[in-house]
Formats: sequence, C-alpha cells, structure tokens
Amino acid sequence: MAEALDVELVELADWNCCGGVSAGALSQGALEALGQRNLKQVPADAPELLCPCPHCYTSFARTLASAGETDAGPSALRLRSILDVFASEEVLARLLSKRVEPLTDLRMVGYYGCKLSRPDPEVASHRGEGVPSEAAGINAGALERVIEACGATPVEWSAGGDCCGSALGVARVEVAEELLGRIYQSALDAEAEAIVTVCPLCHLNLDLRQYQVSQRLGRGVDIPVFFLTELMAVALGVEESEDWLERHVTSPLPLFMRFIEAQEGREYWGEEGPPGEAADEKAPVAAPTAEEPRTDGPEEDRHSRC
Amino acid sequence: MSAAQVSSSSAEARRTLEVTVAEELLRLRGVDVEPCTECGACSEVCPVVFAMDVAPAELITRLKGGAGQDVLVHVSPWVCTDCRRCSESCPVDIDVARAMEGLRLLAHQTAQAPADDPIVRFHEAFLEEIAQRGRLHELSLLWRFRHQVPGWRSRPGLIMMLLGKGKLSFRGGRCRRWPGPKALHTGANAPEPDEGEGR
Repeated sequence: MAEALDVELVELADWNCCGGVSAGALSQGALEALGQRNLKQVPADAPELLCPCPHCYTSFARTLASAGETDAGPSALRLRSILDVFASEEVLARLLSKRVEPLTDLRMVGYYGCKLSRPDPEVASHRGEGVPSEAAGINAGALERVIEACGATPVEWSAGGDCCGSALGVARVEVAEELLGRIYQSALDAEAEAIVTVCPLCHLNLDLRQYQVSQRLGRGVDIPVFFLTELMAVALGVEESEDWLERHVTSPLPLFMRFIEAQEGREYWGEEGPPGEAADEKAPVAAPTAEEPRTDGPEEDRHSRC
Repeated sequence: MSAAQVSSSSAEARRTLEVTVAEELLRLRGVDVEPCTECGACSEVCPVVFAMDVAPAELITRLKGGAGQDVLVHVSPWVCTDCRRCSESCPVDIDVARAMEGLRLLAHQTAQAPADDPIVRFHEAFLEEIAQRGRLHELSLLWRFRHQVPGWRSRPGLIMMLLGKGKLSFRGGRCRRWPGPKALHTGANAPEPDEGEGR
C-alpha cells in the first residue's frame, strides 16, 4: 500500500519490542534500555523513524528525551506517527488521484485512541500534523481527512479519544468490556457503519469483543473496525487487501456487500449466485469515478475483491 | 523465567523507601504533586475509576500529604490505562498519568504491588517474554499468563479462532542479535563513546 502511494518504508533492522506498558511499570531502566537498542539500529542517515504504534511512538520519544536529544541538532531523529506519514496532505493528494474504490456514503468514525489525542509531553517536539490539535478537536482531524479522501463520510461522535482498555483487554477483560461498550454505544448513537483506528492494540480490542459486549449492552454491535492503512489500501484497490478483510473478527464483508448493493441498487448475489460460477454477460456497472481505466473483467472479478 | 529473575536481572532489587512516595515520584518520574488543589477533576474524567479502589484525586492528595510506601498497596495504578485524561484535565498541570506509572514502578520495587491482581502478573509475564526474545510472542505470553485466566482450558475457542485467522501464531518472531534478559538493564544499550552519530 505504501508503494502505491510512493511512500518508501525501510524496516528497522532487528527491532525489538518497546516494552509496552509493562516496561515502565516494572523497571526503571527497561524502557530506556529497550529504546536505546532500537535507536542503535537506526541508520545514521535515516531522515525519520515511523512508529506505526502510538505507544511505541511515545516510548521512542521518551527514550530520546531521556538521552538528551532535542529537535535542535541536525543529528536529532524525527519521529513520525502513522498519522503524520499517511494522513499528510501530500499523501492524501496521491490517494485521491489513485483511488479506485471510493467508499461513497459509508459512514465512518475516526478513533484516535489515547496516545495521539492526548500525547505524552515528550512527544511535543516530534508532533506533526497528524495529531489533532486542541483547537480543531477530535472530530476534525487527520483521520477525518483520510476518511474523506477514501470517499467515505466522516461522522461526528463522542468517543474519538476514549480509552479502549489497552492491556486490560487481556489482563482485566471485564473492565475493558465496559470501556468498549461506551465506545460502541457512541458509534451506534452516531449511526456509524465502521470505525477506523490508528493503533494496533485499539484495533484488536475494538475488533475482538463485539459479540461479548453486545451481550453486555443488550443490543447488537456489528461495526467493522479498519486500521488506517488497511482502509487506504481498500480504497486504492491494493490486491492483498481482500485477504486482510477475512482476518477481521468482526467481519467487514457484510458491510461491503451492503455497500455494493446500495451502489448498484440490487441484491449482492442475485439470481446468478455467488462468484465463481459461470460468468454471464452482464450490463456494465456504473463505475465509481476513477481516473484510472478499469482493467477488471466482468462484475464478478470486482466483487470478489471484497 | 520468573518475575523475580526479571527484576533482579534488571538490577533493581526490592527496597524500602526512606522518603515519602511523593519525593520518590519527583525523583524517578519528574512528577510534582505539590500544586494539587484537590479539585477532583482527575477522578471525574478517569474512565476506569469504577474499577479502582482509591480514586486518582484521593491518591494524589494522600501523596501530597506525605504518604509512605503503604500507599503503594492499592490496585488503582494498575488499573490505570495511561489514557492521560487526568493529566489533560488537571488545572495545575500535574502529570497524574505519569504519577500513576511511577506508583506502579514504586509498588513493584517495594514489593507492595497487589500480588493477586492479574494485571500485575500480566506485566511481569510481558516483560519476561521480552527479556527472552526481544519481541512479543502472544501465545507464549498467554501461556505464561494462563493461571490468571480462570477456566482457560475450557475456552479454547477464541484462541483457536485467532490462530486460524493468523492473528496468533505458534512461531514467534525473535531478534537476531538479542543478548537476552540483560538487554533490559539500564545502560546496557547505551551508545558507545566512539560512535559518531550517537543516536
């Protein structure tokens, strides 16, 4: 997906875990030691370090701060959060021009989680345009711009910066379920059809327990949760993205089926049955606005991407 | 690898505090609780206060009042998820979230942390896992943590599903050049004096 947007990413060699919440909790030095090992492996000429997980981003910033690095010197490493890189104006412009599957009318809410909506103080010198500003507020930030660039409709809601429960999703599930319940309730109130997140742990928590929380809330919760780059990949028509969709616990496939039905005004399967059967002649589909010519075959090929 | 091995291998033996917890917090994490006005804003915005035994505002008040290490027995700092709503809401800019992290650390250092709380065991298991291979192998972590999950043997469903989807795997990643638990020591990975860029 990054390739599709001309973003060059080089994986940090032999990276180690930042320590999560646990390092800071149990050890005075582990957080710094783990961060320092990672920093030693950053090539000297690397312009920036992308930390896809907001917690890792924060841990790195704390390691740099405690090592005395500031943003003053030329050798200082600039940290980038996933929003800084993939929600920048430049990248979003490329997304718009290469977009293949605009997710028109899909109502989505942007979930920033904790670390990017209320950053730790050490992050301040690295903070880019990705982090929502206090002035603009949670519902008017980078995530909403991404949702729009993907063709979907960003919807206002109250839980954009609420806590997902973090490690409590494993360690104290009942507490996490309470927090998740509040988030889902807010999404239901906003009539959101999907949530987009920027933190892998938030994604796991939000995706994993909708069935259990449905029981707690007394109403069904079935709101697919996308990771930011995953959503962009779907909008770009990246081929591997259809495999990712099957890995969700809260499946986005029914959502896409409904979406296609709404776009084309017909039943998804119709009389023809599921794809894979004989490809009959079909009337041309009203294609979404796309700058690139469609090279797919009959309708079945396009549908099978979802 | 036991939790005791992790903590001793990171050269942080258990200790008794000789000063107030507030003074330790200032030293270890740079948090000053003196300005606290007891306004209660932190407790009001905390999303997990319902699961805490002592609310954040009361904890800070007690710290300000010179509490010693017996204040470290509470489960509150462990339930805290570091969401930072407290720090954001504090009218006198006390970093309450960072104070909570400091309390976790001090509770662990003084062996006051509630030993029967699964969260404490979770963090120990997590660090044990990182100490072994430098990366997190989720299945291995869950295995270490299994005694805190009542009835885990009778509920294989969730794990099986996650395995099937490739979200969990039997093989975990590991760092190629991982020196083992000593990589968690303070200063173990500090840049060499002769390294030019000195990142």
